[in-house]
Amino acid sequence: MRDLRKAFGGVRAVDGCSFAVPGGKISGLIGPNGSGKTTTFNLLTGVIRPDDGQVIYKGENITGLKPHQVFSKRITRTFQVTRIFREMTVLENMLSVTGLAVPDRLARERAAELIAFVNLTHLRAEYAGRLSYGQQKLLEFARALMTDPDLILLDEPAAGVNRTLLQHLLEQIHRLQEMGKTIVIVEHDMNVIMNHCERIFVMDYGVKIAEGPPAEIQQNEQVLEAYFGRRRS
Amino acid sequence: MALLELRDVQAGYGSIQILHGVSLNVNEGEVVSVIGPNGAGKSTTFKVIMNLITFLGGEVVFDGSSLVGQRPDRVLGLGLGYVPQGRVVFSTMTVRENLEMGAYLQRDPAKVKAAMDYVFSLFPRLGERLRQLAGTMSGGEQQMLAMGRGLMMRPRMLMLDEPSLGLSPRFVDEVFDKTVAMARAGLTVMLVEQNAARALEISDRGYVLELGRNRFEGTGQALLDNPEVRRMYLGGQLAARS
Repeated sequence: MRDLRKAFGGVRAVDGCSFAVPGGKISGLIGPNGSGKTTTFNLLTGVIRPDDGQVIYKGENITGLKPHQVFSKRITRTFQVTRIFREMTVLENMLSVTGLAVPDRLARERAAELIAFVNLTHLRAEYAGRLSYGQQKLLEFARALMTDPDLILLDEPAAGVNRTLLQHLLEQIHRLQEMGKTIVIVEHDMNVIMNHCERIFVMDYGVKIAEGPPAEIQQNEQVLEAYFGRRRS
Repeated sequence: MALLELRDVQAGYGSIQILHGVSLNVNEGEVVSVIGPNGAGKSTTFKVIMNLITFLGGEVVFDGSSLVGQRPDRVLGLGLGYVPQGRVVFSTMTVRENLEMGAYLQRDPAKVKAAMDYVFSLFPRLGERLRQLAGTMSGGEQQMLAMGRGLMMRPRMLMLDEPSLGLSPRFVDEVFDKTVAMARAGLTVMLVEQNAARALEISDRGYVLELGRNRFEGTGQALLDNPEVRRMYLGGQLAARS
């Protein structure tokens, strides 16, 4: 990301942000509510177009591509507020991203596997709109893994997810990383960020205020002030 | 006598049954947490108390009267406040209008004013932002507003559904601090949280639900100390204090 900018009316949501996300690693993006994290994800995935700046993926300028074009570059994401198909079943949601009119056996097996992984097997034929908030998050997480993406952007995967199940999700995220995938996590759960991310980017008021490994970020006075609202010993 | 009592409650949405017999009680002045895996029926428990979903059996009693079949506004009028999951505020209304909506059953302007002053005593920032549109507030501030609105009818008991959801660490701290402050001021609180360790730390008692049934219950500390509860629901450890 090079010097990305996006304003909504008079609000400069992202105000000249540059990040270099390391390939094959798990990175974290943190910052106070309203600091521009989700807007950044939206700029990266073509949901909104930047006013200025560039998004470079594997050397290619993908700025301004439409979401499905970004998706075809094997970039996938989840949303903070889930974007599932409420009137499709859990299984149909999973198969919806394969792009196959008639999903093959492989796709069905993969879907079944992932549904089991997030503890939704008993609900696979249920309408997704009837799942609880946390279960919808889990469905979206599982769906993001259906297409074998290379870059996975996760917007608050821990929010509303039971902590024990979260540990399993994190194990899965590490397995994906071991397979060479790049993962970026927006998250407020500091257990997730500090124990699982190699590199952390911190935003405040639309700009990057810090970047570094967890140990460094935890000592950064500006971050502690902006994010935790207090100094810590 | 318990202020709120649920006996063998069964409930669901349309054709699916979520609660298969949940029993719990909340005594006056207590903070009680309800925790459990996703889909255990925690939010559903709140919704059945407020009569927002299909009631299939059992009994819900608040302050001696049955809530079964009562309209949600009647439940509210009996002194039971509810703050739903996901900081649901009226985003195109101001802070003041949002708070006034919370008191829509209250016809006496003096009481509305008094309730607002009470809310400002707990959430001073809301008093400074009366004309701000709720949609332009940060997530943490919206959650404070949702909680403030839930207090506008001056309920005896407040039900909070995942108040810390999606909030940055400083606001997570603030939400739990405010919950403790409300409880100290005499309010009875029932809390659903995935931030379960934090919730149990401030709770007198807690219930663990799983698949729509009671699984464990005990004091907040006893549940925190229970190895099985920790392994199955708290992520195998105490959540890192942020």
